[in-house]
Amino acid sequence: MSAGSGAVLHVVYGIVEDPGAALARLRAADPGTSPLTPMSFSMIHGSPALRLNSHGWMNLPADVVSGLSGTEALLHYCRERLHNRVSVFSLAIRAFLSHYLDVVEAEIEHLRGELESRISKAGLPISLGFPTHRDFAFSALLPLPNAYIGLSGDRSGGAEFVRVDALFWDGKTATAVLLEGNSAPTRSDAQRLKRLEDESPHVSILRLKKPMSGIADIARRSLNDAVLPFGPYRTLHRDAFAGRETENAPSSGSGAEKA
Amino acid sequence: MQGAVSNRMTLLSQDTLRGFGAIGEGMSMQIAGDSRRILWIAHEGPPKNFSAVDVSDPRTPKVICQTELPHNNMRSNSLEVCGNLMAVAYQVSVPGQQPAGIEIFDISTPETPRSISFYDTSGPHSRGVHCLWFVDGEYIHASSGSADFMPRHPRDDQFYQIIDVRDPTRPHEVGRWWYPGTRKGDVAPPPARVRPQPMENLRGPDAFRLHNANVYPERPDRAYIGYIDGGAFVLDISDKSDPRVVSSWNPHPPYPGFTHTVMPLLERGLLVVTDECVQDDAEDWPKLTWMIDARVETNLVPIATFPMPPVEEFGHKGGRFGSHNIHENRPGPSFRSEEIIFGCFFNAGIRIFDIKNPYRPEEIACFIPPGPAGSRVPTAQMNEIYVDDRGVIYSGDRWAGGLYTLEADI
Repeated sequence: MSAGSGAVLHVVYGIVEDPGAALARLRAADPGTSPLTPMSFSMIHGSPALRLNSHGWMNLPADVVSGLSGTEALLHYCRERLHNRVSVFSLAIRAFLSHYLDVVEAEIEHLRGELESRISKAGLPISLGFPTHRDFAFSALLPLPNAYIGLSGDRSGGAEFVRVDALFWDGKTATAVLLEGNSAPTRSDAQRLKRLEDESPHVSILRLKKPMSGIADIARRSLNDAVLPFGPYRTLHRDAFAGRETENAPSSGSGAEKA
Repeated sequence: MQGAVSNRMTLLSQDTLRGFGAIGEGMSMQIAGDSRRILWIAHEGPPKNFSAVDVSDPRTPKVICQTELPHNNMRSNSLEVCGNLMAVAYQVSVPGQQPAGIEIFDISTPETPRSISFYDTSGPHSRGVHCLWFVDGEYIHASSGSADFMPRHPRDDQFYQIIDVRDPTRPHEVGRWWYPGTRKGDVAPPPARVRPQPMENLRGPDAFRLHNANVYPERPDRAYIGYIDGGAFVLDISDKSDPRVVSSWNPHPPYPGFTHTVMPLLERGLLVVTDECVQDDAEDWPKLTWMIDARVETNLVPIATFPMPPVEEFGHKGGRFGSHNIHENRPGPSFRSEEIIFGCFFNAGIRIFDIKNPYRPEEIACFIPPGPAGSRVPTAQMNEIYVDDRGVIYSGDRWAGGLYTLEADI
């Protein structure tokens, strides 16, 4: 799917000053831009959920992979890549990302028994230690930080966007996170957000106050339908676990997950 | 408005405040008991003390109260409202004169402010209070002299004082800090003057004294202060009786001095610092607004200045041209943003900046009124600015134009 064909939601995320120009640059550079790139996401109905193990949101060179031993190191790498998607001055978004990943890890420990049982049911003995319940962390929904969402009906290349602090896509609904803090929206920001709410039924707004208790629900939702864990660097063919990993499948569309 | 220059801003009204349209550095909003929005305004100088303007409908402001100063050798200049209390700064022209200090009013009935106490900071070397900050109902943070403070240099007379007003009928000082070397008897040597000036004008530049002290409820243990030629300071005031320097930053010299406001953007680890233009005809150009990276508060790093219109266009139009007050994100019925900054720049009017990218602040709107009738200079001199939680912008001319209310298409 190209970024411009049939998408119901165009998102530019990360350190972005002019989302319209950024999207235009992406399209010009590669008209067949993948649905998920390190700075954009084009969602259509039926797009698989975006997870930490989704292909495209970060570049993971082979030499880096070879230096990452184990779940812990890989998760730390994911954390760093997420933080690097955010301005050094977006302290609230950075805190949100850290908190979200902390909650994911805590939730995984909380659900350890259930997650190990899923691994066993898939025919992988827990005693092998590969994968472990902790690998389910990579099934957590991927937050797209500092996300600019193109308003629906905009076919001009993204002239109007509404900014949210983070965006999750679970395969059915996009959850736009707004961190309530010291900045009030300008009138035009508020109008654009209203338009998003009115015109995009597949987008729900989650306003989070401190402490960010609403995150736990997203973290839990991440894991509900994950049958098996997949780290973002492992190359796994769909048919290896045919029928078992539909929701957890990588989104590359190539049938394989690779970094 | 004929002769105005406007970009994405619309003038809603102008009110010359019954012919006394010289506005100082105090604008603060009260939501009265009957829900009216009352904007309290300090006048730049005598004969008026302060005015109260009902701005519930900003298109038709109504002056509902205007008071007189006790005499013409003083000014109020600064005030702050917190709930139904208002603190007003009194600064005299000559050290030793009175009244110098802070008067606190009960403004429950805005038409008839009732004085409930006076905190006296007069003294042989004191001009009293130039500026104050009062947002928590508990402490006033003031730039003032005092009876027991003898400055080494007459223009270094106003220092940082913390005044406890938890009982507003009995204000009393609980802490103070001054730039080391500015008080007679200090061990530290006197600071080197940045741009030495003749002594005839005590209000002028060439001063190591406090201008603004900003303390926010989110960080009650920090005071962000502009110490004129001494630069910007972050003070630890967790023990109010013993403020300690956390860090400082000073571009003067080579820049020409007069740090005015230090506003923290606490959720972004940034400071916005303004240098006030204090001389006409660009004599002290450039007076800039700075963006400071304060993520590590002990290591303040300047990363940008706000764009200014061309000096060749504004420098010699008359009056001052350069930075001054900004909307300070104070608590209360105030618009608060860490991404949009509103400032007033004397003859360059009111300017709004988007600082989402703090490395490159971008001007997104501006309004320059024509020079008002009766002004001592041919241009408007936009001196003070406040933005309420509806997004209505209030700004005042220093000499005659009074109150301008505006809205921005941003």
